Amino acid sequence: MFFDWLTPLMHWKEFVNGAFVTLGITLITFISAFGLGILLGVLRLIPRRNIVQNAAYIFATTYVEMIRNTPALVQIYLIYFGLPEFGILLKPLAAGILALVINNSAYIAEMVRAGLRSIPKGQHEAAQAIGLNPVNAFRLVIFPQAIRNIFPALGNQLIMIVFGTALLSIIDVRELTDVALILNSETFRTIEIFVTITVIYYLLTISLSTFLVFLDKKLFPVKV
Amino acid sequence: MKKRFVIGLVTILILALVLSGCATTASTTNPAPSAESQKQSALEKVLKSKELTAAVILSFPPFGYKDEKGEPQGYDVDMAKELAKSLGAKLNIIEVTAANRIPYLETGKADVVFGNFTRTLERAQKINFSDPYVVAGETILVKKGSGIKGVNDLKGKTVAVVKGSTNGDIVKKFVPDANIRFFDTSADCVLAVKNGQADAFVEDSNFIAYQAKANPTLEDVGDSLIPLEYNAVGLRKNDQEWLNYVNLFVFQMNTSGTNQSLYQKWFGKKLPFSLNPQY
Repeated sequence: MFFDWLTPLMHWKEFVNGAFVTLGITLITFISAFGLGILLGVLRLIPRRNIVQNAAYIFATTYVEMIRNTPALVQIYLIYFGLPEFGILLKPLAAGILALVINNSAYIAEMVRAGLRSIPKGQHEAAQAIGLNPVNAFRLVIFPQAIRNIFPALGNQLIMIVFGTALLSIIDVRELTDVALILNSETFRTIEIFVTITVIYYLLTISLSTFLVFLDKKLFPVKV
Repeated sequence: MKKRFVIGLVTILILALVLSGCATTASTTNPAPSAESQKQSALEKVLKSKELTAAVILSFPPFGYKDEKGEPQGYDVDMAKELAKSLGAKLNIIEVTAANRIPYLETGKADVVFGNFTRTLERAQKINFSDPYVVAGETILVKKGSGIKGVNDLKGKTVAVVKGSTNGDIVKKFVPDANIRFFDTSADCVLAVKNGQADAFVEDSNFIAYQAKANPTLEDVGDSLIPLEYNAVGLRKNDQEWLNYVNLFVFQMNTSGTNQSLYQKWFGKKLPFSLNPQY
């Protein structure tokens, strides 16, 4: 058994392209899933005083429970291969991003819900006392504090999304893992190729983590 | 508190070092025993242990698939059963894909691969092939009425192929501007053509003929893209004894007519091409 490190090196362009696709999908997915997750998290906490609010709550809860309790791979399959049965044909990249956004929004919704619930009632009362309407109270007082609490968990989810993009290899989205699998099936240099992408994934996630630590310190400085 | 934390951390680090040390000593001592166990032929190993481990592709009917009970069935499965019978060994089937069948052989996880495995020079640099037991061309599966009649109509179209098959390179060679989509299994490729996510699926002619029969909306077109592919049993390198035995097994299968009758059972016709090329 000898190692042929030239093989992955000769295909460096494909690996770099794959890494960029991975990064792009990750960022788009995170931003979209974060937005959708906030909406879903809030919907799960609204008082169910009338039919509309009740329906919204039930929708959000069903969505979150169903998505969290089924594997992401199955969801990707259903969206790409199953939707055409209903006439919806999606390009692989679109289907992949859609599946990842739907999947991650459910997990982020739960994080947001936890973060919002952790804010003491006193904050709500104080915001009301100084004359803020509910929307502004949420926007200016409650939400920023909730985000500060769940920021580490959100950062963790971002890293998980990087790994989630690897699942998209089954529908041939040319992200890093797909590039590796195709190259492997052509050259059979399994160890060299997969060690190479392990290193690339590690560099990607380390960079993201470092950026997140920096962001955490900048956005939420610890006041003495 | 801090002391306990430090002790805990040091313990974990020591454990990690010990485990990694064990792993590396195991792998450094392994080349010696594994070189010796590779000196022991797979033939000896199978005869001694009375167990044959065959890696079969079970996502490629009728070569290999799982029936309603989850049992492996198919032409390749039957061939594996015949090999095990000849050795007086119990057959142990593990499922592989076109992409990972070679690593399974290289690492000794399987003794043989039955997977409509095409003999190519590149693959022969990593593993050994037996003599061929099935021959095929490459044809195209398309939706009825697609207007694609042959390889020249594939220009600029989306062609689905399976990761790890020979078809990706073949399509690239004949139709350089085709948009090739690599899927994990042949079932995904067929589904992609049905859905319209791919215009065509290029694969083994035996397999495509079977899929065209099984799917009324699809048809197989095109003469074989390439000269015939000779498919054989995959074996690990550095094992001449095993290669000799399996070659004799294939020879016996062919001359006794067992291979022909198995093929007839699964494909409903005789082997379409001669196993011995005339040139």
